[in-house]
Amino acid sequence: MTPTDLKRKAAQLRLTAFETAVLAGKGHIPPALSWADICAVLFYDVLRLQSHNSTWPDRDRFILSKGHGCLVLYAALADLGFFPREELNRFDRGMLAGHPDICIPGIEVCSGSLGHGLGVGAGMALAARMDGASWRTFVLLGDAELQEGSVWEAAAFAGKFHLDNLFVIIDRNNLGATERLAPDQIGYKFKSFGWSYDEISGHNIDHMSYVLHQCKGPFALIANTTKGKGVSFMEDSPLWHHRVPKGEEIERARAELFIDEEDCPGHVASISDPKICGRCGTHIDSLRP
Amino acid sequence: MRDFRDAVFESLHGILRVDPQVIILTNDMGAMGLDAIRAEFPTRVVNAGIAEQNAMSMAGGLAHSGKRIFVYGIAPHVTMRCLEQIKIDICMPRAGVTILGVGAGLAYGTDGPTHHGTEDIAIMRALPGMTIFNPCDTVSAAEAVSLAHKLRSPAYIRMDKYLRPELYRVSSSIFDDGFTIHDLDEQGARQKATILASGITVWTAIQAQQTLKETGTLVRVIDLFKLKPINVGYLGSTLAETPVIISVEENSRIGALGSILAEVAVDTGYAGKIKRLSLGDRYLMGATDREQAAKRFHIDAGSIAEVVRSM
Repeated sequence: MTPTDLKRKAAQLRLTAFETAVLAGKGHIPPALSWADICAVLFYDVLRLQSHNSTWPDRDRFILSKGHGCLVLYAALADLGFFPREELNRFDRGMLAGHPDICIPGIEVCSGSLGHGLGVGAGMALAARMDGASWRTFVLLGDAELQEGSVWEAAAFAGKFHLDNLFVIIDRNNLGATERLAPDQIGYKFKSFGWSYDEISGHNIDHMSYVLHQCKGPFALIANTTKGKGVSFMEDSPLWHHRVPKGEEIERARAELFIDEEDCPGHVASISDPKICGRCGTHIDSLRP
Repeated sequence: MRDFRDAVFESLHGILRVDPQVIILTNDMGAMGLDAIRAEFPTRVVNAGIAEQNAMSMAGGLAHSGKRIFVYGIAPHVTMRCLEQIKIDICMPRAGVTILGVGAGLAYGTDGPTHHGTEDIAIMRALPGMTIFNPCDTVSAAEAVSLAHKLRSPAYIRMDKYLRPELYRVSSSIFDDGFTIHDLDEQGARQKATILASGITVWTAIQAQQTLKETGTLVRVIDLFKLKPINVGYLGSTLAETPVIISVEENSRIGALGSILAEVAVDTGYAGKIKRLSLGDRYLMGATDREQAAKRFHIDAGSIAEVVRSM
């Protein structure tokens, strides 16, 4: 996929994640928008996966350790065909819960309680090395999640055992659920445990793609991001961690997330006029047979 | 008499020889039997360091990729320090991970309450899909390892530290039923009570049984080797054969053997009298050895016999 295509994918993932939450009236939107660009790079450029065979033994393993950021992951898995797109419309009412679990094709582990993903990932990476397998393990952590001590138990182990098939991406948006985080030298911490690291923009798709194709584990990519990226009034705001927009907020967000008519999956009735798609302005009635 | 750890690791050693997927993790704990395994399989014994949360998460990750994991450490440390990792990373995916906890009940005695395993059964029992073995001798300890390996789902094996003679043979029915009855020779004689024990208290119960016999009171001892899952119907009907049941354990009063007894009694409509002997709802502070503690908490053979006589 070209960098232009990846950028378009990221925009689609943002839009789908947003609409999924709006339809359900529930969900963590900004924590998902925060890593949408990272998600696009991973799922459309870096990870070796087979959507028709989600348990393919040689697949790369991906763990979303910050499970509350799942909306954008669900969007990617649906788009890639791991499960039908219609499941997104039943978010919070069907297979897709507020945090991912292993009943969902493409989801490797249950997550939602923070601080588990890196340890499980270290176990997976160790298993691959014991078996001489070539698949790799990628773990996405939130920066606030680094407050969990278990993350550093796993980091110490992975460093000591030189797990060269283990890769961590830190969605560093500087916000927890309620507060701004203290400034921190995350890279130095990983380095002190024997990891290599790089710190770049988590919204620069080309750069992330380049780094993730070059790096050797154990490697930590500190991806500087903006929580709520793409919706101006949610961006970098501690108020929006788990709030779902209402009324006019929805229309404003849609206008900002708008890509083009072609990229308006399913169309969504606008609040002011249900006959018109609130995202792309198409007359919905005209599309129905 | 053999050490429980020797029996467990010898059994595990044999399993490593036939199943190449088996891996052992420790939290920087050593054991002689473990050294022998490490000498033969240096890459299959992994010291996860003093980091129990990570050991359990890694066990889940390794099991996810087809490995069969045994995690070894001191009972309270490998159950309670890392409880949520056991829940989410092991029990939710029903991973083939067996926890080997040494120091059942007050086995660590004078080392103090940080090392006592007195709430672990209650806590591990609450986890869906967790199988729990509480062996009282080295034969059943070794057999528990073999049964856990066959399970392919989460298991917890409690190991004592005290030396005890062998009570069972590998062919004993306890390994099929999860519990066994120890009756005295007088078949058909009316038995006044059942003493329900598990792990090390089986020996205390047998001692009480002998003491009571000398004064003409016949009691039955049941060793509940498998604490979870329980064949409620079978255990209930066996318990119903005596009008009095006394449970005896080196655990908190809440959640372990006495609670199992109360649950089975309720579920099966037991109409007799029940008394639950335990450590109560307290910690054992200070350098108190196990025998002194048993007397203090009235779970020694003399106290059990007295309770039987009083009922």
